[in-house]
Amino acid sequence: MTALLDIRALSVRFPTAQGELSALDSVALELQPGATLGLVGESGSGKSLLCRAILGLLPRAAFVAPEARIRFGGEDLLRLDSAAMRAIRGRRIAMVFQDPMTSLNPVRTIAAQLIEGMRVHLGLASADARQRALELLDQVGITAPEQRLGQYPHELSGGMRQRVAIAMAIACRPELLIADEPTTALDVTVQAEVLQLLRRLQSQHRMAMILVTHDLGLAAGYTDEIAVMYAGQIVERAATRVLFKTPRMPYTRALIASVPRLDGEPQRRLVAIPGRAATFYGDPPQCRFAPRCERREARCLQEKPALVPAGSDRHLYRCWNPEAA
Amino acid sequence: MIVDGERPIEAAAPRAMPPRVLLPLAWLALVAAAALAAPWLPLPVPHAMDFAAAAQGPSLQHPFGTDLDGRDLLSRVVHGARISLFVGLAAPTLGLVIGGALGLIAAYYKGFVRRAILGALDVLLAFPTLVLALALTSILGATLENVTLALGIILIPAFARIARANALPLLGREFVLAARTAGAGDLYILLREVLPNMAMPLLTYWLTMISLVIVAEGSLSFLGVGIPPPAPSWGGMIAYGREALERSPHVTLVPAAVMFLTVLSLNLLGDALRQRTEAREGALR
Repeated sequence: MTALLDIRALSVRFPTAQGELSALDSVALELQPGATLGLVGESGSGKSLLCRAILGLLPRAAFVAPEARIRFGGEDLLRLDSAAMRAIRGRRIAMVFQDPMTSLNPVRTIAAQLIEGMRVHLGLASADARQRALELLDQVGITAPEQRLGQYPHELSGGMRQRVAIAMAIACRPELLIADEPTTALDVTVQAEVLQLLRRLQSQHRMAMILVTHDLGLAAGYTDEIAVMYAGQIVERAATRVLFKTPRMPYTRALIASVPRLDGEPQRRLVAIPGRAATFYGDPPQCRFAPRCERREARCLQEKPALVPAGSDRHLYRCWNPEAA
Repeated sequence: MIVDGERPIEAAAPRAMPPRVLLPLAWLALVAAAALAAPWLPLPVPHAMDFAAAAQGPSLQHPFGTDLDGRDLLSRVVHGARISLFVGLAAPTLGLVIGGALGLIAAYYKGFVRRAILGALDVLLAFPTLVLALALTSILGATLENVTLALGIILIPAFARIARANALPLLGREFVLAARTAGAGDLYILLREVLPNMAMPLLTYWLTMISLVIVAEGSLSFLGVGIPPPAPSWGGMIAYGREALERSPHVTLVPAAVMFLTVLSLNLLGDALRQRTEAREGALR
């Protein structure tokens, strides 16, 4: 089976006064049609930048390595002109943002925002688009859709707003949906509903999804595969079950350990990873996690580890001194 | 979850308008209605002179009295409203459309386009406004259209600045990025995502500028480069009555009072609108 999305050697750098800031370093990913990939990492690890790279919306200053490839359905997105890219955005690849309060236009009605995208992309007549908008709102579980169409975003609750944002994203039946922390800004009670909605829509439309999150616990329940990012690199990639059972990279293990558990004893201290994520310039010959790593050896600060297979199940990790399998 | 998505209660019950909104609205409605209906009203012709009845005070035949050439002041004030309102609406609209477009473009595009627009606006801003209007009308010729054009051009830089200042923070907002991820092009983003968000500040400024332009037209007419006589414009009428200010003050005072009330009404309405929008925006964020 050919992958829907195939990213190879994606490096993105930003020229700064201190040197070339390495924001993404040889990122490689594949995603099958209909599958869900969890993209997990701390803030600043490059998750959102990777999403923007896929959509062709990198900041102007960004420098993309010439050998990088982002193949999507047979086309290399990095080599498309802006008109061709615009036809893909929203139509074949769509995105849901973290905070629906800021990702919806505050002064336009739901109808205006939902319908116009469909008219532009699908060339629907306005009555057809309206009919389709009602179906979409119904699909994402919004009650009284007829009434909602005339309302403004601030008249809806957070969960409702995110459902509207999801309806907008799936309006053109995209093959790939990028959900950038889609539940972080929502109440916990609503989080599960929104994630289940995403999963249902995904299986209905056979849509692939990239679920960006910093919450490993959340990724565990809703993904087929997980890629862990640290400081612009993918440091471990494996099927979700394998990753939780046998994490090889110490960073992954630390992340798993830092998820609070309800069945742990009360008053137990939460586990934290010491230090904070650093920024790297150029291509330093070291493991980027080494300064914070418990299993650090001399070699970790002298040579850059490659992403190597762990044997089974397409499990890859980037470490000189991995955890035992 | 029961109240989910219901409209807030205060939006359902409209409050009674306070007098400082109601009175200006009523006055402006009166002026606008009189201006629109002027040709059909039972008024004497505004430039019909009657030297036998020159400079008379108010009477049944001439409710506002007559001017120095015996022309009916009520008729002249009403016909003058047509001119003042035309200039007062057309010039700010010209500034709004051209200035708003330039401001949006200067906010959105970088490089040469932006530098060229901002540079040109700076040049325009550097002229004292009334002097520029004087120069333009004396070069172009003092007709109604040219006075309007000159006053409109003067307003372009301010509208452009306001548009740009409001557009810049909006362009960084996430809904613009979201629109882009949905495949929106430049024009769509500018007109459909950014413009609706800055309509209120632009419109409030537009409303304030109406009164400013009415005064400016009056000043130009007073200086003799405005609307040429015998067409009655409020500024021209005030200037004309000046020579007999001691003998028959009403010739100057009647148009001055009408202009004063109109400008005051516009300013009060502008203030009320600004307060409302600012309160609303505060609640939104």
